Amino acid sequence: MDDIITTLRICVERGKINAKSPHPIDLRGQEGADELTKRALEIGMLPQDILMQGLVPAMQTVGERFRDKRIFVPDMLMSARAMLAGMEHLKPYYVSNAIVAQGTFVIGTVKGDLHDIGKKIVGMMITGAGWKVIDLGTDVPTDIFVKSLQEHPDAVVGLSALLTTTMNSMEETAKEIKRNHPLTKVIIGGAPITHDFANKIGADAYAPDPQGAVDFLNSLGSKH
Amino acid sequence: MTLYKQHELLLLIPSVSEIKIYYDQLISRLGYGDVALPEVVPHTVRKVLDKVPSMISPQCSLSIAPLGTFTVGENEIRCNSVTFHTESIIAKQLKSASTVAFFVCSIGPSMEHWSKREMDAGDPFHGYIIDYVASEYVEGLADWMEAELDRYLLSLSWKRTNRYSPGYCDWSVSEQSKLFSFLHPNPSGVSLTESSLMLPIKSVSGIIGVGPKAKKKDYECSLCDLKDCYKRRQPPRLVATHQ
Repeated sequence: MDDIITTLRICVERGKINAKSPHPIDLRGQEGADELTKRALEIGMLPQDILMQGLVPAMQTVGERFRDKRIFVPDMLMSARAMLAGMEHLKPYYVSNAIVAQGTFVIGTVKGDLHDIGKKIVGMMITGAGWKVIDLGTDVPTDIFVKSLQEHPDAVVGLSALLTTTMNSMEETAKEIKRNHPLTKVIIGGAPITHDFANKIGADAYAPDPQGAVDFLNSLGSKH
Repeated sequence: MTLYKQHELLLLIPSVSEIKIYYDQLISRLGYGDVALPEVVPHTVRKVLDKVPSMISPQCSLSIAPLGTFTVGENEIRCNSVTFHTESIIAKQLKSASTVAFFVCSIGPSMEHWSKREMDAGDPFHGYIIDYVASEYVEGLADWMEAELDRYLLSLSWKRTNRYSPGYCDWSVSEQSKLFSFLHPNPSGVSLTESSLMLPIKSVSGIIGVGPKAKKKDYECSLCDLKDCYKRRQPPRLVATHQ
């Protein structure tokens, strides 16, 4: 059993999706995250263990390597794709509560801003950290964030902005979230965002990279 | 080419092959440096590059302000009655110019739609590479436009400065709409959102100082506060010279 988990971790870290995928060359023809997750379930491993001992630590390693500039965006995304292939087999177990998510994370790009890719990458890394991610999309008005929190009152919120002009939207949204849900944790990120700006608008954290967001969520424990 | 028409919009449409994209530079700007590049990266980049000609519709709109309408202050430039609060870095760079050219370049929306489709289908890697190649093409298109401008300016014995865009070198992106007021509505199919975002996203806008004494100096990244600017993070582009 441990062998499967170890191999699964390696596949995710190196972006090996399935047996058909030609990347990486030295793993060509071997099973990938897709088949290994399926096989782990077939031999009776608990879905929660596959997630927490296989996919999550692998993505933690990937996030840390990216933060430390040892790998680059394409590597991180290949790993995310492999992780998602494994996660596909685990999805039904979230519904049946055989897997308990670490928490719920609501993420969106603020009103006026249509940039999507950075936000999506962060969402994938947080999925890979064992959290349920609700992606509200781009150009999201404040009231949609607030409404989402009414449905998921324990969720942590992530706000993304890539334009200096939409930092005002971010401020408005963060303040409105705090006004309606004072206990909700808000984390912000994006090219023009700084730690000082996070303090100014009352956000709880600024994530300079995806792993920064994961680290913050991990620091909250699993009550969210 | 009849380029210098006072305040008339000029539409420049290159063929895709005229936009110079240097494969080695494109790969190096992904940041790997001396680190071994996973073989899937160049493979995917090449596959995306092969599809680019059928995906993009490059266009540039350009307008040169008449002589006598342009002045430069310490932190701003003025054209007719419009004041651009560019801040000092750009104002200083434009001091050598007699007037300015306003421009918008776009490769159209197809690449960003393609990228989004791949992302939504669960292939973030492919989606990212498409987006990355699209960004390189729109910068390559702006380089091509500069080279076309150079050819025209040569006939007047004029020169030009670098190009400067709202959102960089301390110039607020909120001034985008002022720049667009010097071009026709929706130049090259580009519109502005309320937050000054250009749509299609793969578009570049800006100003270029021109004139007999205009000087092209290096970008002064050391003077700018935008520490995480992508222009600072990436090695300089090799600029194609048209013969």
